Amino acid sequence: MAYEDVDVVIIGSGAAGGMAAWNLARKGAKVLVLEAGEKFNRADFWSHVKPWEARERNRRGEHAPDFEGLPKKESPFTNAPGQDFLLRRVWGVGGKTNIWGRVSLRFSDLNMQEPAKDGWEIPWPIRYAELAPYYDNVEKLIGVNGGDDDQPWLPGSKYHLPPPNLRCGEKIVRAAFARKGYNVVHGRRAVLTKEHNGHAPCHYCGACGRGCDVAAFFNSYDYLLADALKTGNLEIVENAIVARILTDDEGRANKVQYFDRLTAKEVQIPAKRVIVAASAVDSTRILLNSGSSRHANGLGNGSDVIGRYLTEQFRFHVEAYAPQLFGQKASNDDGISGGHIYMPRFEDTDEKRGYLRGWGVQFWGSGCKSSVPWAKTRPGFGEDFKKDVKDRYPSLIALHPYGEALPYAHNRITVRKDKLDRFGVPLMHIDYSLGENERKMMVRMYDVVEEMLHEMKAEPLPYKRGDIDQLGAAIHEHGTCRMGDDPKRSAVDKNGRMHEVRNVWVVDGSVFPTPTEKNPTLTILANAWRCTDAMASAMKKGDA
Amino acid sequence: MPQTTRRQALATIAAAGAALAAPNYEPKAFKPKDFELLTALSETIIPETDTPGAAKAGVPQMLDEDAQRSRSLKAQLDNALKLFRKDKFVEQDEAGRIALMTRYMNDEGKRGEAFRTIKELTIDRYYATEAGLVEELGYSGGTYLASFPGCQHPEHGA
Repeated sequence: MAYEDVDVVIIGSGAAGGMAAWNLARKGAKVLVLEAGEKFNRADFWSHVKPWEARERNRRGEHAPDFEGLPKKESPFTNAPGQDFLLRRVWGVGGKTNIWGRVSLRFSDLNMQEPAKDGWEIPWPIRYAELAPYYDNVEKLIGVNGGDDDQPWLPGSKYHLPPPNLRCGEKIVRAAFARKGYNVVHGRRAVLTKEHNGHAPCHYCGACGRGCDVAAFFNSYDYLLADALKTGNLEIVENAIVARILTDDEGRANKVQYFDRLTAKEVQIPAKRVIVAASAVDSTRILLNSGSSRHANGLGNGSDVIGRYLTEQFRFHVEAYAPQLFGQKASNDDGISGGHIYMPRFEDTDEKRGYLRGWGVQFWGSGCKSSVPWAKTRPGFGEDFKKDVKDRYPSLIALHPYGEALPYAHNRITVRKDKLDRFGVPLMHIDYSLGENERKMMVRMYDVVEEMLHEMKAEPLPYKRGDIDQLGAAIHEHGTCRMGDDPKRSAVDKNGRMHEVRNVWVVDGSVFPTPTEKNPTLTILANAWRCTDAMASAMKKGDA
Repeated sequence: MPQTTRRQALATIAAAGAALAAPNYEPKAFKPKDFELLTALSETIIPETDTPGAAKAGVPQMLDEDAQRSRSLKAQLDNALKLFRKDKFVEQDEAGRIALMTRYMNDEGKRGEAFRTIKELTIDRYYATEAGLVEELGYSGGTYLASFPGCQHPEHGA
């Protein structure tokens, strides 16, 4: 593809970039995708390697694919003193969708209306009704299993594939929660429980986190980019580490500058239109590094909102033994790996509790697994110890509440001129902490978790009330390039188009004004589809 | 066969130490005497029952291999072994070993730390072997299934 023929340059090939590329290429636009890493080869995945085989392989000097190594090496970041933000990134075709958690929950209209209602920061510029047909389309395209439930905080779908059967521990959890009036439903996961659009069904090996050898769950390459490549309208440039979007005298984007990871050579690609879809943090880094005389504060950042309002859900984990399962014969509990059940948010903001927004609960980690790190917390040694571990092996259950964090202006990504990557490009600095709202919500989360442990007569593994997982661990970063109707308070409009630079769009998770309590990938896909539909219409009319 | 006989037999086997762990394995990180001690210690943590114990599962050999690659692991184990050697752990019969290890377990100082070191390192390795994970615990995952049956126990809920 001659670069001057390219209609749209897309930075990133994960959920957002893959969807944008697929949607535009099939509509006839000439698309060039810049990807910082390379394509992962499914034949190299260690999908069925048992723990003892992994040890043998490691001994021989063989290693499983390193999905997360590249960005750590090429683009490390710093934290504010005393903070330790966990940033998990995958550079490589498909990005994080190669190893994502596959939880696919629709945001509800209540989620989207909440900021307008409670007044905390800016409202969402779209409503659920605008996203609903795109949720339908995404689910039809990628295949999402789930139940037929439909509730205020978790809209239902007509397109779910059959949900997987529940594990013993999950049934015990669901029954106990039901006795207390809590509604635990089938999880919704982008794992194929039957063949779907030519993609192989799941074979329940439980190794999704190491990449799926048959692509039985959505990943951006096998489900989007491979089809887009067949149109002849897409080219993917690998090893292209994007540094900046360059602008002309009028301040419009006209080139994308990247460094070839292998040759370290600088390349400038002419760009009529740019879609930024490099994941929330890397998209933000690129925009902030794209300053010029017309864009002193980073590209399209006259409002000074880009980089600010970073949100990441906070969560904690309580594991427990369900005594009902002590001594039960071990079973293969792999299933579709991760939880088969979910507890949707069930509470509106209640002023008496003193916090805004809410939380939901996930339950991955039930039953017999391929490792037993908890055995080290069991007392004693010898025959009694050995029997105790075996008795408890099938009995593990786990509760993982996820809470919505409010957007704060001081939670932000910046770039630092004093710390450069090997190409001389400023690296990121992340400043992220929780506030009083989150702390109050966490108290409520622990109260309900402990109520449920008691109801189940479960024996929790050692935990400390008030402890939370490392910030960043949910891997759901949002807000740093938020969409909105007010150009003074948002970076992009409702269709992801930058208010200040009309030939640049942002379509990844960075545009979400709030994180909600839910996992975002389904919504990123639906929103990227919606935004690129609007973009294509505008292009057709000569407006873009 | 009466229980005590089996126990005695096992004690004899455990005392044989290195020979049981892997007849042809020559430790590289540890001297033979220390390897024998390591074998006896790990086998006391997870003994052979109707399924293999730590020694037969190859835990001492794994620790020797790992200690060749990690200086900090070697140092950590050396510290623990030094104490147990001084207290003549290998020289005890099974009951003596259990009594001595119980004393270590209940110790709040260096001996308690030595116990935890041996225990945790043994657990990490034993339950990652086929003997520990499959034979002992009954793990049957990581394979191909045409369907996922899930819980088959009506008493656990609908």
